[in-house]
This record gives sequence, C-alpha cells and structure tokens, in this order.
Amino acid sequence: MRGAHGRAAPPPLARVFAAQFVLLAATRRWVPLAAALALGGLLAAVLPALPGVRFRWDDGVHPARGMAVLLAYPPVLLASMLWGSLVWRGERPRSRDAHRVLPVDQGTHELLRVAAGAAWLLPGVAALVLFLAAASGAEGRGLLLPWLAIVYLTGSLTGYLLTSALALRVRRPLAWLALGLAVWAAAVAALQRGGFARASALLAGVFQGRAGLWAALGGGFDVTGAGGTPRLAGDPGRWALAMLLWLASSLLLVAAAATPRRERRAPGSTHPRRWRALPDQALPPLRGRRGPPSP
Amino acid sequence: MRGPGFALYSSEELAVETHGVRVRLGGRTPLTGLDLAVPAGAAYALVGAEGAGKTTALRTVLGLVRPDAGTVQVLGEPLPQGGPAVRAQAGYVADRTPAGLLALRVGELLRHHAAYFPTWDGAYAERCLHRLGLSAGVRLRDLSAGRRTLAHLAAALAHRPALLVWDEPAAALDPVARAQAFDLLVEHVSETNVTLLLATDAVYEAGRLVDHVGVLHGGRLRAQLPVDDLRERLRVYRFEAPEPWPGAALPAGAVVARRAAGRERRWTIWGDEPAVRQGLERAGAVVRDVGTLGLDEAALALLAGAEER
Repeated sequence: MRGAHGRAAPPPLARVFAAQFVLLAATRRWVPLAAALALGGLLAAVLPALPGVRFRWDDGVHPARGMAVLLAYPPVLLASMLWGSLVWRGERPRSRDAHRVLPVDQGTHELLRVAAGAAWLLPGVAALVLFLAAASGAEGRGLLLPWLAIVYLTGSLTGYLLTSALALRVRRPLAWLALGLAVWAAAVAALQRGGFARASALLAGVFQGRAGLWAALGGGFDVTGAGGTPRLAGDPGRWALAMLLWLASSLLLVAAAATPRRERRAPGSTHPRRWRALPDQALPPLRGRRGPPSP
Repeated sequence: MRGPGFALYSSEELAVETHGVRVRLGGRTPLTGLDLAVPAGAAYALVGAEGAGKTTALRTVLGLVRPDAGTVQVLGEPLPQGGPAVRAQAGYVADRTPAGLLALRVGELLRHHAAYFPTWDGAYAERCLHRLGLSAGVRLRDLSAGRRTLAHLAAALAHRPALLVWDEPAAALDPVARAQAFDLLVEHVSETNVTLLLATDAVYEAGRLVDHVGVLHGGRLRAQLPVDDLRERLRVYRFEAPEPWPGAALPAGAVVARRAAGRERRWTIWGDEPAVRQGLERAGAVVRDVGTLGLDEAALALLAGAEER
C-alpha cells in the first residue's frame, strides 16, 4: 500500500551489486567461464606430462613443467573476453527492459553488472593461478607465481572490460571486436602499401607498440625470443606502464559506454512537486474539471 | 485533431502525465505527440492496433525510452531525472521474458526483485504465487509464456507498487491463467490505491478491469476518457436521411464513424444524445434507433474513426 511504504527509495548500491552477483550465478552464466578456465588449467597441467611432448623452451634453465603454465594464459584471456559478452547473454542492448526497469540509475546499474562480472572473473582466475602454481611444482613456483598472478589478473580484467564496454552498446561484442581488429589490420597494411609508413607504424603501435595492447596483455612474455625460448620482457616497468594505460582505458571505455543511460537528477529536485499521496483504502474520486468534450 | 475526453483532470490528480512526447526509434517514430493523462487510482487501458505505439508509450512512462521531445511526469517525478524514484514505486509486467533470465527459478526471480525493493512483502509474494498456481522451484524456461507472465506479475505486485504497468495483459495468457491473473489484480486494486496502466489490442479482455481508456493511433492519442463517459456519450445512431442530404450541424469531429446502406445510415457519434438527435432531426433525418456500444466496440469505433481521419 502506498501509505505503508511512503515514497519508496531506490536500494543501496551495495545491495544492487550483491543482487547482480547472485543473478550471474542463478542464471548459470558462470558455467562457460568455469569451463574455459578449467580447460586452460587442464592444458597447462596435462600437456607437459604427456609422454613424448617436449617444449622448445625446455632449455634447462626454465624447465618445461614450470613454463608450461603459460599454456593456460591464452584460454584464460579468451575466456575473459567471452565473459564480458556472457554477462549480458540474452539481454541485448535494446531489450534490457528487465534490467533497466529496476529502480536504479540505469547507467550505474549497467556498471554494477559489469562490476559483478569482474567479481566472478577475478577469483576464478586467481584460483586457476593457484592451481597452476601447485601443478607446476617447486621448479616453477619461484619464478612464475608472482608474475603469473599479476599478468593473469590484470590481463583478464583488461580483456573483460574491453568486451564489456562493447557489450553495453552493441548486440554482438565479440563480432565487433573481431571486426575492429580486422579493420585495424587492413588499415595498417593499406597505409604501408600506400607509402604512409609513419602513419602505418603509428596505427600499428596501438596494438603492437611498446605500450600497445599486446604488450599490456602479454605480460612481457616474448615467445619470439632467441632460440624460441620464452623470456620475460627486459623492462618490467614498460610492461607495467602499458598494462596501466590499457586497464585505465578499458575502465574509461566502460564508463563511457554506460554514460548514455545515466538518469541525472535535476539539481534541487528531491521530491515530487505536485504529486499528492493518496490515503490507503480509499480509491480516489475521479472527479475533475469535466469540461465540454473537445472532439 | 484531439478526440473526446481531453483535459478532464488537473495535474495534481494525475499519476502519469505526458505532453507532446515524440519518440524516434531507429527509422520509426512510434510516438508522434503523446498527451497521456492517467488519473491516480485509475485503471487505464491504452488501446490501439499493433504498431500504434502502445509498448513505446509504456516504456516511456517508466523511463526505459527517452523521448526526443515533450515532457513526462510520473507519480510527480519528472523523467528522466526521476526514473529510479518512479521505478521504485512501479511494477512492470513486460510482454516477454528476456532469454537471459529463462534459467532462473520463479523463487530466484522473486528474490532478485526483493533485493531492489525495500517495501517487498515476502508473504504477499508467496500468496501471489499460490493464487496464480506457481511453484517457486520451477525454472522460467520450463513454463509456458503465459505462466512466465504470471511469475512477472507476482514480482511486479509484491512490493505493493503505486503504479502497475502491464504490456498486453491478455497476450500470452490462456483463459484459466487470464482469470487467475485478473482475479488477483482485482483483489489487489481493491486492497490498495494502485494505478493500473495497461496496453492492449484486445479491449474486451481487459474490459472488466479498466475504468479509463485511451485510444492510440499513429503514435498519438485520439481520445482518452472514463469508460463511463465513453459508454454514455458515444452512441450509434441509425437514421434515414433524404437524398441529397447536406448533412447535420454537429460539432466538428463528433462523428466518429459513418456507414451507409441505401438511405439508411449508421453513424457513431460522440455527444449528448438529445443534442445529437436534435441536430440530426433538424437536418431532416429520421432517427430510427440509438444504440449503446460495449467498451470494445466503442474503442474499435474510435480507432476506425482515427484511421478515417
């Protein structure tokens, strides 16, 4: 009854975040994420143990079992990007009424869903890192665990946020992502062929440069190192800079994608100006200024 | 041209008030100038053919669609700024369940809603489920579209909203589900001061619920008025007129629909019966019969009139 709840207020944001976190579990959207993470873990744990499998990077310095934990990273990265899309599965941008009709500023509500997705992703990735550390044994632990933890967590978070920004605005975020990459590659190649080497290098640098996306996501891991031996980047500071740059950019992109749905309250407008609450149990008389019909 | 029944209420008495709302979606313009006035405590049916703009009108009222022009005020809050406050007092029953929520159990759907509404009444939610014959443990994807609608109805009612918005209440419901839903709604209305805003293209289905009707055509209202007024003032006049007949002196727009078979004419006319009859007879017509219209017939007549215009 209206009188019983007075002017109902929107819920606290922490409660909304918790509701979104629970919703992602209740709608079973976490299942593909868990499957992809498990697949990554399985690859890293099982492949090195298979008889006859030898990795080129088994150079005696970085033992195969220790380095093989890197095998899990590409699936984790892909799973993170897929997760950005899965969080909104079945709720296209133009048909999110069930989400938007709830009493929260719509822009903030979308950010809270993305945050709830991150809250599922990061513990999952952290659990995988711990598993990999355990599976790699003592030989890989000292070298890889701290680095792995940072790269896996920041890389997956950046990938997730980039896809999330797209998922907030377009129906098929992964397809748009692929299209964007294809357009980028074509543009770089076209500029190169057209003799605009400087422009081509500049454009290529967005992804491949020292602070490019690959540098940020790759964690300084260089598979094209001498003799095919993977090695950590020589300049961790540069990698950290690239990572911070892209993490911040992806956060800004998500915020920008949610901005059009913001419902800003006009300054000073806290309560209705003309609405009169009606007493309980008394249907209002439908009296009015019954004028002549205006056909 | 505005149809019958505008400007009946002052703003203070209105739960929903829109002025000149125009909405463009993609290449379409589903609302071209909506002036909606839903009195507080009314059960208002927005009727119109498919594509008339009914769903867009409801979505606009809840802040789900941003108008390109015009103003919207709901429960005293201007939109879009007041959107969260409006929706905190509103329940919405959409005409379909998004695919992303189909894996939810009915109980999970209700708990999800409960988190958003401090006024949530868990006991009442359970009562609604019981009345609607739903089990909390069943998944939405295992229910028919109609039963899913009932689950959404329970979720929309359990926080005791001041405004209940229901898109196509009869669309997916089988006769049994419809009876259950409407019985619950009638009971809810009798216990609370909820304002109902329904959109339907099947007026006869919602006829027992509503006391106000708005006729939407081409994205704007052609008429909105209390159902009692509609029944009282919209009549079918069967009369014979001499040939050639110059026509009667009736107010512009009063004739909603015209049919003729030989010399006999059947006109649906808005106005006080004695005045209309007098106007026809002064012009030489012989009025044979004056008939009343059911709500659905009246709405159809107004819609047909809108199409003719």
